[in-house]
Amino acid sequence: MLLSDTDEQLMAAVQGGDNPALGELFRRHHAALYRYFLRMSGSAALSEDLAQDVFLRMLRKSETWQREARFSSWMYRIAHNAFIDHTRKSKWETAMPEKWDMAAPAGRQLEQDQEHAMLHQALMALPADKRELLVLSRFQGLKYEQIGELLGVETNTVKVRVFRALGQLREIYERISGEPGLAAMGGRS
Amino acid sequence: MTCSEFAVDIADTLAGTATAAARARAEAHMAGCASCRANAALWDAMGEMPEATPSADLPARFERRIAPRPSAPRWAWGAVAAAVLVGVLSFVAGRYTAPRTEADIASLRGEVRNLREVVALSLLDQQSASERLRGIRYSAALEGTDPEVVDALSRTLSNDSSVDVRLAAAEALRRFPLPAAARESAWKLLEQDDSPLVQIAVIDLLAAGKDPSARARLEKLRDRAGLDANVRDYLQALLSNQRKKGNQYQ
Repeated sequence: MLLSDTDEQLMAAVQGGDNPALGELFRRHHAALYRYFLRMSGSAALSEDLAQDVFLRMLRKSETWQREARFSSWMYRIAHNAFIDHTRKSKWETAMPEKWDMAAPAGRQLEQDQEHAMLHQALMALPADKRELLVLSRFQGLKYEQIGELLGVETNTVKVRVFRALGQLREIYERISGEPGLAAMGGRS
Repeated sequence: MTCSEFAVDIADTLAGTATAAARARAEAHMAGCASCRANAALWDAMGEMPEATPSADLPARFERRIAPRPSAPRWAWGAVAAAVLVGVLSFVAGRYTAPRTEADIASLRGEVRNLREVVALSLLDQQSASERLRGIRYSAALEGTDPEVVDALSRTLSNDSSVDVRLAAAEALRRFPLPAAARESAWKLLEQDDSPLVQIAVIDLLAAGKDPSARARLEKLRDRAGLDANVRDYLQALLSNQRKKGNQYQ
């Protein structure tokens, strides 16, 4: 295993029984997966658990990895399934509010932090399937094509769903903030 | 035209993947549509949200979980087969050669108990989490206290990669008086395990024991920086309840 190996080369090594290669993949991708689960669940501890669970599933089901597939698409498919499984098993669990480790804000910074807190609240109030579309496209940086492959839908369907999810998020945000529009955020004109 | 008719163009424009023509259409629509402008502002605001980071030691913890476990005892399944054979032969021989005595019956019971223990130990070393869970159920159903079974459950609690299995092991261990080594492993696990659910199960396990130092150690744990807030709340409630019940640790 070489640190310069691509994700796909490392995953092929994992298939051959090279567990340290999985450790290197974890080092590369665990933060992104953690943020995906954090945006989906709101719980930091759960997100660390689920990020590890994704890689343990990779180890157990390494034979399902196809060498011509993009590693990140496969990883997010497993993450998507892991989150669904968790939701089914733990309907009783309530997501805990996320805590941001930031210095005490002041002035404009305070205002922006309040907006981010309300935006976070609005995201958590969005239905999980819509939240996932926004999380994948906006926070995780996945292309619409990749999201389409992941969810098994056409690329244009993803775009329409993202547009609708964004509209619903705005409605929720406006209810929470009590203000129409997002003028304070310095939106596009 | 309605907003929905511009959905694809707007989504592409937001992601920065629109063609010049699609971008022009989207921007012309947004110039006259306050809702779509607000949606775009929301998209921009999401991009400015701070990014959280996982614990710095998460990769190291994961590597511990995938490190090779002690190999499964190769003798285990052979021993199961041999024990079954001996049991059957003893039964057949006993039935046709001599009347059974109390001692024979006690001996047979002992063999069956040993057999169950071997099966439980073997299952705890299986690759499949569901098999290991079966092993824990077998262990919990055993009569008496076999140190080897308690030790195997303790190792499972400390090292198993599955949260479900670790939780089941913690629950099963509550049936047994914990030897000092297993108790210390459980305390160590409270420092290392990243699952709040497992931490709470281990706290229950340690609180249920008769260790006179448990209360002080649990109080110290409650005050530890970085402890999960849910675990801290649980611990606080547990310690308060125990104080009300008359300080059972003192």
